[in-house]
Amino acid sequence: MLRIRKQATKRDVLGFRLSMLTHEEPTLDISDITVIDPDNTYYMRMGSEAMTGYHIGLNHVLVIDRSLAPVPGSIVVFYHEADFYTREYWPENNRLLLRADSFKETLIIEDLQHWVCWGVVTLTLNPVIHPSQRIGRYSRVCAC
Amino acid sequence: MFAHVDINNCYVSCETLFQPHLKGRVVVVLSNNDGCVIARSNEAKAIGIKMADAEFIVRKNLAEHQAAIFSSNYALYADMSARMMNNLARYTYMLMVYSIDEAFMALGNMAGIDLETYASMVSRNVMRDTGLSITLGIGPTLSLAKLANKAAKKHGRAVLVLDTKEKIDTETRTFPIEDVWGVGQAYYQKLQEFQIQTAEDFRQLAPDFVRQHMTVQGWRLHQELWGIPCNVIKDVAERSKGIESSQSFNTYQTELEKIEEATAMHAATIAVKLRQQNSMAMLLTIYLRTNKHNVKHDQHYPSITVKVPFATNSTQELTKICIQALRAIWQPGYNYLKTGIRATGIIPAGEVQFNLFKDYDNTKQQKLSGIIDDINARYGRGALRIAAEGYEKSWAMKQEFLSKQYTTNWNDIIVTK
Repeated sequence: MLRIRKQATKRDVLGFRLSMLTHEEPTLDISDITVIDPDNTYYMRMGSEAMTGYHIGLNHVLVIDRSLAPVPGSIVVFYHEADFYTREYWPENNRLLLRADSFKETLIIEDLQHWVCWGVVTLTLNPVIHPSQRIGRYSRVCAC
Repeated sequence: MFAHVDINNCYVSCETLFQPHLKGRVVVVLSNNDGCVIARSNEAKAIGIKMADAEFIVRKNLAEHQAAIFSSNYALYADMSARMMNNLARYTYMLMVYSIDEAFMALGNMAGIDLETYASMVSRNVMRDTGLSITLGIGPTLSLAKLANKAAKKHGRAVLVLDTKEKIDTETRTFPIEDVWGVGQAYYQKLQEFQIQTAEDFRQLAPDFVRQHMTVQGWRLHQELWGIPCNVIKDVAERSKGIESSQSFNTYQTELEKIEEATAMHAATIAVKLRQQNSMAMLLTIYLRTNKHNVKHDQHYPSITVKVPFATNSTQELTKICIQALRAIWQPGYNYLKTGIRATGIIPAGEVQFNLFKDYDNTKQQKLSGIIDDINARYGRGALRIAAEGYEKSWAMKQEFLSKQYTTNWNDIIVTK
């Protein structure tokens, strides 16, 4: 299971020990607020610029929760005609709009039987590290 | 009451979850080395593909039906299994994982709750959350729950509850005795002698008669089929009494060096498994196999069991011992197809018996093994390994149809449009 693991290593402090150590609290862990249901969370990558208007750019990592049911306005990942898509879920009378930035990229599903929601996108990861700093261990920032 | 849950066509379901266009098509998953069929979609079953059919025998049939064929992708299946088990644990106070795709759930008395409704809700929610469909069989004992599960599949149902005497009687009357959990080949043949064809026939035998002919195991099964629990759900995994690692080569191997690499890899696998369950092994059996189906080749099935000086779970020590043992049994001139190691005499890690005539200091080995485990946990299995395992692994098993590791490798996650 892909999860955000704590990278910090606990080391034994030898010699002088701060009295404050007795007040130690668990350190902040980003997965507490990004992965709510780890057993049902999956990751995918955005492979197009169809959703830049929704702040989902090319190569952003998508955090997808399968246990959520989509509501109008949700960003969903779905499978349609042999491809996975990321779009905004917008049901209308007798049809379903899966909206993107442009109408050309929007999918209209007339027959709901041919549409399966794969999961709801809860979060996207947008790496903003400067290209010149993408070296060594920093080359792993959102790299996939 | 207990529920027996299993994932329908588990490996196939894992593959089609990430390739939904394959739903409704003939799909099969092959065993290690792409040898035999080990999982089939319902469509594959319908065209006559049997469990354990050799790939080369059904190749033509699969091609005619444009089947999707997959090599075993255990990284994916293990991850999906873990997700499934964690989901199931939400619906019970006690879950016993029985295999990669099976589990028992304790349901207690469930006063005032309709079991059929509850089981349907579990099935629906699990399908929504994991994308894998399951079958639930519910009964007053583990054996009846398992029987209910199989019966549900036969009736094409997702849920079957055997909560009354009438329902149990009805199901056992037509349930083949060979399909009852715990009835293996030996018991089946014995029961055939007494004209026992169904679970109901078996239930009608006198308990003393069953005990006399089928030991206490058979008696327990008999009791369970009458609704008297004899097996309990264990929520703590027991230590394995024997650990084995083996694999066929992709081609015949005649060079000792290549077989040593494979042996080192098996030794490392066993060492990791031992450390995971905090135990150590005292006996190691190393064996080699030629291909018994190839009558043109000379056959050789040597094996050797060695007792280690001190029980160990160190990768380095196990590798050293296994390679020495391999050299003792390997002979030139044979086309070896398979090698493996079996560890027995497994004891808890803290119970090593010292030797009066030999020093024992395991601290360095334990530290080193711990570091290897930490690095491999962080960077992936085999990221750091002993050089004896080789680099290219040209002997490694054939996996021509391997799908991606969608959930365990960042480079393999799905790209959406």
